[in-house]
Amino acid sequence: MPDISDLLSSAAPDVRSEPDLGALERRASALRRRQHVLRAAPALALVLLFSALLLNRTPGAPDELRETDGGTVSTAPRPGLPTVAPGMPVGPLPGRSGAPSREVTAESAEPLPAPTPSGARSVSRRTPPTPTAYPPKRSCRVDTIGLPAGATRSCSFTATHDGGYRVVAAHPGNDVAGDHWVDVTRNGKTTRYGNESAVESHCGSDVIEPGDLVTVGVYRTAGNVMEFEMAAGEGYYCGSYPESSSPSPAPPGPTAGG
Amino acid sequence: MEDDLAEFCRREHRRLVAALHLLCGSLPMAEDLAQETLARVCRDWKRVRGMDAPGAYAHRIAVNLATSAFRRRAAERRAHVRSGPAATVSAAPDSATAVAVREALAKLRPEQRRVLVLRYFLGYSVAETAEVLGQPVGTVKTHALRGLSALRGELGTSVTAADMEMRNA
Repeated sequence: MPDISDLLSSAAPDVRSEPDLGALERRASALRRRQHVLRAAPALALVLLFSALLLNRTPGAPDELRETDGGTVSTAPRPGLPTVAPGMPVGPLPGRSGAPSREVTAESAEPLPAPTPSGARSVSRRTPPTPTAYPPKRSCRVDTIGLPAGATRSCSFTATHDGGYRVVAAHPGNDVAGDHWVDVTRNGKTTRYGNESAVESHCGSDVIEPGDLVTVGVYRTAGNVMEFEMAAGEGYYCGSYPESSSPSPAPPGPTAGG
Repeated sequence: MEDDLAEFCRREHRRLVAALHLLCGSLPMAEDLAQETLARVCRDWKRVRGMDAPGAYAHRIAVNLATSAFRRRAAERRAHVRSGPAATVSAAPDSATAVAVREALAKLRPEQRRVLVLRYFLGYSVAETAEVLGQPVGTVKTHALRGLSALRGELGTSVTAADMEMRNA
């Protein structure tokens, strides 16, 4: 009567080689660099946020506001100033149907409506601004690390290159379980990709063209502790293998196997 | 690379590749995942070296990596584009038993396969297996018993692990 341990040992390969220590060091260095970047990201987002706020409060440089027919308000940004403000919080994105949706952070945001100059009359029939441009980028990515349940995180950009999208586990071993989507707006028409956990929705190739307005979002459902990230743009497609953020798993405490 | 880290990598590499091969069924993929596992250990070595069981930490990362369908696919893709078979494969042809066991393992549910490999190949106790997998002890026992039962059915023979399971439970 065979023993299961003997059976498994017989089925395992006879590994004779040594690990490539040089390659290990190089890969570890790359992982460390990525870890540092990820740790610095929140601080960078804060800096961008305050920069954007300061820009919009500069005395003597308000965006002009004019009312056009039908009550539509359009803005005329100052020359040389960006029409969008990376790092600003954006409005709530649609999350799971029926679930509350709360925006936490965003790497980039929708175009900011111009502040109403002092003395300007209020516009009661004001139409919400339509996104006309996001920061031009090749790609952007968001993850659920640190994201509370019921919250969303998103980033937006104007595509400068062809691309697709892909969702990957952000933590070693975590399968993706949660809402994730990519909205691609082209010629005023928005197409949504991703969302839910069907395998087929985890990636898409050649869905983004230069000039497309792209928003990438993730949503953490209640009780879901999985961490994953969603990315879109150049270099992301079905079969791509983007580097994912990889926080270290909590150390286990077994006493054997060392 | 520090001496103790290099020694750890050399010691764990073989066990990792072997265990990952049993878990994912592909030797190139097992080698990729073992390399990635050790890279993560290298990255965190200052913290890992102080742990009671650095090997268990590595095995947890390895199991997590193997579990991820996305990484598995990506590693498969990269493995396919690599030229030639891996040099670490034993020159000896696989025995019929080895092939049968691997095929039987491949038919198990992933959670059962993980438990069997950790428990009976890497030699962890039930409690340690539960710790590595982050699951309750009862869940691990259930997976082990059902996995063994399924393995018996696939192999068409009896194995003695059930007794071992009872002893160590």
